[in-house]
Amino acid sequence: MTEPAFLVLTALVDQSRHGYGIVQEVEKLSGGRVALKIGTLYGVLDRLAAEELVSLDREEVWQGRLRRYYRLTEAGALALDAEAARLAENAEHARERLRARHAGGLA
Amino acid sequence: MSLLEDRYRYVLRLLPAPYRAEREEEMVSAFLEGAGDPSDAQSPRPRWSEVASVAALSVRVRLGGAGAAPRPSAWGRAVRLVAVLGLFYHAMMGCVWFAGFVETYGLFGAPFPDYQTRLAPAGSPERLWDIALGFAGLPWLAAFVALVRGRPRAAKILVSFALVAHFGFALELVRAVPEEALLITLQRGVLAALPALALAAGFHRDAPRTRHPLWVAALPAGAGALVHVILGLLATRSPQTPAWSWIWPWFDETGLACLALLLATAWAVTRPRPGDGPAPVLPLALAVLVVPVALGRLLRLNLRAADPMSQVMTAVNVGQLVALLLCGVSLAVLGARTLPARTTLASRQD
Repeated sequence: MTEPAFLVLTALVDQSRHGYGIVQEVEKLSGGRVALKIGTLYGVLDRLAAEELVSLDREEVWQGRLRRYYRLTEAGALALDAEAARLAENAEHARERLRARHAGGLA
Repeated sequence: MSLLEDRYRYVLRLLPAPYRAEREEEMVSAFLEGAGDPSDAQSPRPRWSEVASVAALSVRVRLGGAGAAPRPSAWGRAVRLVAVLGLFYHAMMGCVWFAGFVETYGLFGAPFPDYQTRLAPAGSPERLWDIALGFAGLPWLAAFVALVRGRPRAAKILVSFALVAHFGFALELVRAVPEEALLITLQRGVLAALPALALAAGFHRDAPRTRHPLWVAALPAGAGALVHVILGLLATRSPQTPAWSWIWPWFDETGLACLALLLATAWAVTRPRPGDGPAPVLPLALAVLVVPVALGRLLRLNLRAADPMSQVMTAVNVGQLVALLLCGVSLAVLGARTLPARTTLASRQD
């Protein structure tokens, strides 16, 4: 799973969001590091929808413009959970080794 | 409609019409929300990064990967096959050239009898250039290996090296035959550009990764060795024999590609088709490949041939062009007939 896909799925965990809402949430989640372009966002959404990890929730008209809201599916939640566990395991391995390195340096 | 909205909608025209029909309004809405509310007096334009992201999305939608609609998926597979076959051809030719280089220097067996007279003095810049040219085709082989072993990103980097070497070699040909500079540059450019473009466009972020076995990666080396042996056998025959003028047009750079394409077309058109019809991928890929090869043969056409041997070679060249044209048309018709129908985004999500 790519980082943009991971962040888009994470942005949809708590509520359904529309395109620009996802862009804002991804930027917030990544501490401003990932600023999704609109073309990139819809490419990610297409792929996630094809894999049935997200689906269309509803449509709204806001200030005369169309907003489509996307939500996380059960399959999406499971996939995100598995990816988060994998990343956490990797991070834990890195932390363990860094702790050992620091301990060795202090000894 | 604001100027910025108008300009963004213009950028969205890069996308295929069915995709735009489904997505345009929400993409415009998302874009304008992020852009704030600039006045027309400021003449606002979408940033280049936004334009690039839409262009990249357009390529991914048109040349779909896993999960794409059947039609863009078929185009995507066809373009990826163009890249694989094109890289295979250049990798094979790189091996043929390298085998000739190795043989000239006598690295396996005795060097050529006129080895010393054919080469510049040892240590001279000319000798170093000659050695560098010997290796010029090998980045294509490395790129092919990377691609079939499931590393398209590495293949793209290696192809950029291969293109530099490819045109370095063209410079050498131009130096040797300056009156054919434009012809040589065009011919080599046409042959190299298409696989490189197909690689860049077809193996995008959403394209499936396929890792072929090692023997597939070794195929260009095997085919290159075989062609080298055949060329060696042909070289033992006198160029003055009448048969030579019939054979040689099939064994220059585009002649070999022409021969391979004609054989592949015969196979694609006549092979048994399982199930409900043929997959359009191979005919489409071969139809695309016919274009640079036919252009290559066209550029080699010598309509001012005076001696009988040159006239025979011109006649063979014309025959090759006609055959390529017929193949191209047959393959395009076969591909178009079997290409899946267009589907909208909504019909896929239902």
